[in-house]
Amino acid sequence: MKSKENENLSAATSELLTSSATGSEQFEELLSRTQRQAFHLALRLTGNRPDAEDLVQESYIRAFRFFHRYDPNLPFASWLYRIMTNAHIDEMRRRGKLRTVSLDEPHPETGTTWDFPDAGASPERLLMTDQMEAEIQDGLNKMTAEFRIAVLLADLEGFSYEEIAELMRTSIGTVRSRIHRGRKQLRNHLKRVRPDKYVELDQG
Amino acid sequence: MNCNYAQSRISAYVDGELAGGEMLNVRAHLAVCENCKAGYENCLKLKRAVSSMPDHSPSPEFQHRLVNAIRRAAPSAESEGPIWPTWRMAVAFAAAAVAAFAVLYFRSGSVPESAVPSAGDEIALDQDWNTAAGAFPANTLPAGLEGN
Repeated sequence: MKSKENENLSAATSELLTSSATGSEQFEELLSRTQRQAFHLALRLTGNRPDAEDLVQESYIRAFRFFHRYDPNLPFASWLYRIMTNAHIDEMRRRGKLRTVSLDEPHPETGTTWDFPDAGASPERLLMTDQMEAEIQDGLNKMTAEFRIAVLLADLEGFSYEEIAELMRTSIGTVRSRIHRGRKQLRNHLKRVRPDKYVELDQG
Repeated sequence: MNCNYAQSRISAYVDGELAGGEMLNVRAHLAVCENCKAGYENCLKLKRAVSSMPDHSPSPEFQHRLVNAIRRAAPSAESEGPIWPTWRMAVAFAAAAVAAFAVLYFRSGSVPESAVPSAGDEIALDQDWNTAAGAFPANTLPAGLEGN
């Protein structure tokens, strides 16, 4: 569904860029079409509203300064996300938080299963309480930044590994590894904070 | 296929990112291994959990602040219109004046009073040809254009 949205946005972008609007007008139009989704990603990357607003603002300012380098054949959102993920990594470096506490210690891989409730009508989504959201966000915050970015681009934005590799300027193999290890960090965090959410297989 | 091999690929399997042969191997393993199947289901739920995280809207005035911040942060881009053509016109005018002066000078061998344009006068007399042709000192460029 996200990919469909991206396609629609991409078509709208091409249409806009061939119109007679000036650079500033085009940019502000693209901003108004993308800022909500950009904020959603930024909020999950940073974990709080003020930092997310700062990240979105910094990303659009950088995008505006380099708008003359934007290739309209690429979706604007993908280009913006590349800028945003770089800005996020810069900020993490500045704060000395690029490498966070490792959550990757050995943990039994098997023998348990999740007990997240499915959202009845929509099997693709889970019912999420505020507490679950906070726990997952806490796990995301503690992840290594590159892992967090890769996981969120895949799960939140629905990008393929190839698209993520292009966006993060790395190989598909590295993306695969980052997502695998990122999910492992997140799972270990959730196992630690909410052991009650697991049902032992042999009991079920 | 052993469990370690399958588990190292479960995440990519959940994302539909394994090539055909590998994907079929993992699928065959999951059909016979309860532990790996549980690992697969965990991974699937974890992916769903992250993609189900609620979409919080930015505050209503955020877009307004965003647009203002961009306009403030990039004043050169906003003022590019009026400043840049003025600068270019000045250079073009000076160059045209120098060219007209040269043509008249070489044709007649003297300088008629009327051929010296007052606007180009100072440049023609005080600066050399290269300077008059448009090399303004760098610090007179509109801010922000140096890097482009």
